[in-house]
Amino acid sequence: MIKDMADDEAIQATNDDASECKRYAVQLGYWCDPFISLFVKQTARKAPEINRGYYARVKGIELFVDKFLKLSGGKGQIINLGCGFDTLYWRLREAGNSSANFVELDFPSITAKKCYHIKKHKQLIDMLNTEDGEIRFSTTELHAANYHLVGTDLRHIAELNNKLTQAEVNFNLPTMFLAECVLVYVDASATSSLLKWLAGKFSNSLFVSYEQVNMKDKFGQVMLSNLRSRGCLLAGVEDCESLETQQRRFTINNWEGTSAWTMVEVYDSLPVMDRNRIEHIELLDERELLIQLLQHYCIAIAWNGQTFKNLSIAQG
Amino acid sequence: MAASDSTTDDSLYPIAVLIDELKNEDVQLRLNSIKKLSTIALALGIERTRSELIPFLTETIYDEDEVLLALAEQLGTFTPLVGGPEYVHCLLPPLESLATVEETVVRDKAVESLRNIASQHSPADLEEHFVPLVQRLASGDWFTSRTSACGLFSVCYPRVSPAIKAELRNHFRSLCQDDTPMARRSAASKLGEFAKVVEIEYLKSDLIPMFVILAQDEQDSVRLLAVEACVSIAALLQQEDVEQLVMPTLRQCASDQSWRVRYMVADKFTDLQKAVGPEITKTDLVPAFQVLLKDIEAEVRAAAADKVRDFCQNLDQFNQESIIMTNILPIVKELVADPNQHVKSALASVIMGLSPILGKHNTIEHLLPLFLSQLRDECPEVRLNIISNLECVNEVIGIQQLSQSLLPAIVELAEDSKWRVRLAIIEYMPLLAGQLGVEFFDEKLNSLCMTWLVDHVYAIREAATLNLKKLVEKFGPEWAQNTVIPKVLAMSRDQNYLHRMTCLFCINVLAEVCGPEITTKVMLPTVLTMATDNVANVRFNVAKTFQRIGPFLEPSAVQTQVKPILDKLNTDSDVDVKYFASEAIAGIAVIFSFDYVNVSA
Amino acid sequence: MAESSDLDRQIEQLKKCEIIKEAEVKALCAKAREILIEESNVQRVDSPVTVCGDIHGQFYDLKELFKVGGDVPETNYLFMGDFVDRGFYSVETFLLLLALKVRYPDRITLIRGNHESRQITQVYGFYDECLRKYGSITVWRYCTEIFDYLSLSAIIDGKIFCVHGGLSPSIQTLDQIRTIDRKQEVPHDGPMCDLLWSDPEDTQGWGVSPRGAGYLFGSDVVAQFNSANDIDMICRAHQCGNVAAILELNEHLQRDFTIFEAAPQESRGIPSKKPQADYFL
Repeated sequence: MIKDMADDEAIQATNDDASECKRYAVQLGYWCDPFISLFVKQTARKAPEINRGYYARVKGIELFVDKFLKLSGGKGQIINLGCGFDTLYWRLREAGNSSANFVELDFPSITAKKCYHIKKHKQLIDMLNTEDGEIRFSTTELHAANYHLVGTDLRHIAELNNKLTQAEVNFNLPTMFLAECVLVYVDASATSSLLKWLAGKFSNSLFVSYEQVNMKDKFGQVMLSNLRSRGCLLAGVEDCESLETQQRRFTINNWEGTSAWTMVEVYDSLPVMDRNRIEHIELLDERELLIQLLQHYCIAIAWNGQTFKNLSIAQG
Repeated sequence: MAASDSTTDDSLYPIAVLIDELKNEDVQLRLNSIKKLSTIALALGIERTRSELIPFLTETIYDEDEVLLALAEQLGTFTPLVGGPEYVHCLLPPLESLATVEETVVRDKAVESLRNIASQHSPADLEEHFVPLVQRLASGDWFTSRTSACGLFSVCYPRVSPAIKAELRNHFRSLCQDDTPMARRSAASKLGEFAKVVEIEYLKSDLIPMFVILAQDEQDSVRLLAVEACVSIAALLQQEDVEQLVMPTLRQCASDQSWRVRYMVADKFTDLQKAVGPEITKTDLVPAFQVLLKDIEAEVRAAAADKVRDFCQNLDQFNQESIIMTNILPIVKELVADPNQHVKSALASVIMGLSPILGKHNTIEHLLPLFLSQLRDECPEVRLNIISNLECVNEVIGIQQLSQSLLPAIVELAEDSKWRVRLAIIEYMPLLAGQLGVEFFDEKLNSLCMTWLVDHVYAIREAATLNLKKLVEKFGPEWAQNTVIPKVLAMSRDQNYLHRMTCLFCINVLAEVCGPEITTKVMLPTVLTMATDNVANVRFNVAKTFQRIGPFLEPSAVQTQVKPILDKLNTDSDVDVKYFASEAIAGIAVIFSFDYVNVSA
Repeated sequence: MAESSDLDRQIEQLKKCEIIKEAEVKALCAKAREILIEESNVQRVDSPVTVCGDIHGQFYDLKELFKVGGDVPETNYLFMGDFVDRGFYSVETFLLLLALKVRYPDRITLIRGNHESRQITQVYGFYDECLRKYGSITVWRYCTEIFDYLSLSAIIDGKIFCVHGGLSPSIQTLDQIRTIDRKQEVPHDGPMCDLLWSDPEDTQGWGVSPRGAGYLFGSDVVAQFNSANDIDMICRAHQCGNVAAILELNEHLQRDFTIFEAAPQESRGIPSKKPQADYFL
């Protein structure tokens, strides 16, 4: 029973957890991210299966980001829904691989903290600068030349429309939406309106979502009740029943095409050399546990228009 | 630690050490030095603490959270070390910085310390030092300082001038309308305590409008805190003001689109009931309660179900029964079949409490059928909650009535697949036995009690063993000899060593209630034969049993029968058998003053 | 007798899930070493005995196990390793089992699991827990030294072979196990590693283990091993998941398998820290 219920806050706290896990894995050398440590502090040890899982998640998403940037030829914009403390913008800047515009959305309580961290670290601010661009800060928002951090609630479409306009989003440009563990916290009807609205507004777009799947089985049910006891309700879990329901969520909301892969498939599709490297960072006692975890997460993508049609997890 | 080097200034030593330690790379050292801050302050004396130590600390506030947390805590108790209340305000600068840091626990601790020292300020110092600090925090750039400010209003407001009071109210009002949800959340959570110290006219004119706004906040996390404030505010107002100023908002919260807000209403429901009084309870809360009990979200129903007994108990005596019977009970009946087990379980934990309120007739007529169906619920927690609360129903309708209606269900539960359910049933047996009488018990329940003795779960066998003793206390040794003991002794030949040991455990407790004759003549022979059991565990338990039942044996039997066997066990090949045999020999020797010098050597 | 009353007090304390002093751990480990050093790599155990799988620091599940199976010394127990890691109470769990072993060496047998290793405990929590509860790693050192003395397997009445992981392609007979020099950290490969790491698989012959240590072995391998060593059954742990189960063998080797539920929430203490991130959030 939920006694100490702090609402959306428990969901917002998932951002801290994800950021901490990423920082820890980065620290062990799973992948490279010089920025994550500027957003979260050092934390306790995480289990090897968690570290490997985050590796697959980060690499899986990067794969689609790279494909998107290549296909959109420098004119694309990335909209990161429920961005948390994601460092993707800075990682892309550092790699000299930026999008034309990069917009990050999250609850105002999260964006306020993200603003705070960005303002505190010169290293982060400096990378927001362009030759002529000025940077505007408020307590919950930040606007730079090609980076916008905006506080909003994805459940309110009218507000979202305003915010995207303020963030200088061009509805006609190729656009990628990222949603890492976001939709699962939003109830199905709100997700439906969101996806429908995005499909109607962005005719040339790619949606990449990472979240739970196969949640009807025993493992899924235990996960539900464990998360529930932390005050974290998966309001959108009904769409996480299978890869099919994940895809149907897009098709019934007017997206032209979709694909989805469990994280087991994503993990197995990563380059063998890289997998070998990270599998030697730590001993993994219970491979079953890792597989079980990976079976319960997926990457689902959806597209509108021809540019991003039939993208897959195949490398290259 | 003594600063004995006479070539340097002694009195500088502590602060030099502190500075050194505070700059040390090792967090643990920095932490240690902060923790002995009071010692350093003592050494420095009050003047230098004020003029050097505190400014130094104020400047050096950038550190690991652990260190800052310790500092924030220490400063809250520092008043005597800076010269008493007269100088307490010099602690404000470092605490102000700490109240603005990023880490919540540090901020909260700083606010706690600030709240502690606020009362030590004179009214003039409050206005000159403390209030400006509150105002600076309240209008700070970052949400961190603004969230901290919220907790400081109620501690200074009562003792400042009307003009400053007005300023404080204005600041609080703007925090209630802050850009960031964190600050609004903090304001909402402190609204209740602030309301208690604000004059009633300003409560109505300044704070209640804020309460109304917060209760409509776009973030449900803010709205649900407004519900909490609602309890405090309602308690401060006259009934008609509650009706006009609070109830519209409360009604709206009870049907909020976010289930978390509705959950909060349900969770605070009895507090709200006490705050609004009987009249509004009848007109408003009863319907609201009905709606919450039928909420579409299980969490909300469960929270409301949890309050059923208390809400009913607190109803006005005058119409209590009629409200329960017409408004509450019909919904409770539906909840018994709720699809969610948390809801059923919450209800099962309180539903029996309605029995004393409703009396014998209503209990038999309306509640018993509900208990029956819950006793058969598929969820073990529901069954368990009902069984463990049978007592209060027993008091109302009597065991005869209770057992007649519930006995079949109880018998079913005696074989429940969850051992904790079986355990709860066993614990209820002695009471049932006492009330039902020997014949009825022998007919209906005795065989169950014997079956539990060979249960495959040890905890059940153990409870069943104790149960036997309690039954014999009720029904007497003769009954034991005829019905229980033969079955117990038969277990000494069981295939399973665990059950053979249960036989010994039963004898251990039965000896206490059966007296020397039965113990010696009926039970002892079996114990003696078990001394040659193939399994060592049985043999050392024979030794333990001898020690336990020794005082209840006829002394001659101890000498002639027990002693030789114990001597033999004392030379057993198994270490544990030898150990417990020698323990028993020593134990019995104390009681009977036998000479065991030869064997225990 | 002062010694055993001291030990009895420590056992009472550990049963309440309270840690004992570092000096007491040191003394306890010294006594345990005396006892364990005498045990064979294939420790002989007599029926009746109750066989138990992984505990993994779940102190309250261990208490639950004793509620279901009975207390030591009344019930005889064989624990098949993995006492530590993952749970919040590895220290209390292992020290309680070790104290019981020292107090009643004939009533309880402990064999080694793959988590009874320096390397694995540094990754899966026991190391951190010792550090957190004692402020230094001394207790972890004492415990891991004792791990090296734990027996590798057990045989009940000469008929039931018990091992944490499984079989090894380099082992055909029990005598080959008896010749291993076990007083060392679990190696990365070889027979000792395999006993603690291997898993049975629904195939024939030997396969590569996805765990990166040990092997997968088929039913033909088991049949071959059983007949070569005249045993009836192999009993192992290593994959219990979250289900707590015990196997009660009476003196006629009749089997009674009981699965029980994890301890209910209200009977657990307050966890010493909030649960780990077991999921991706």
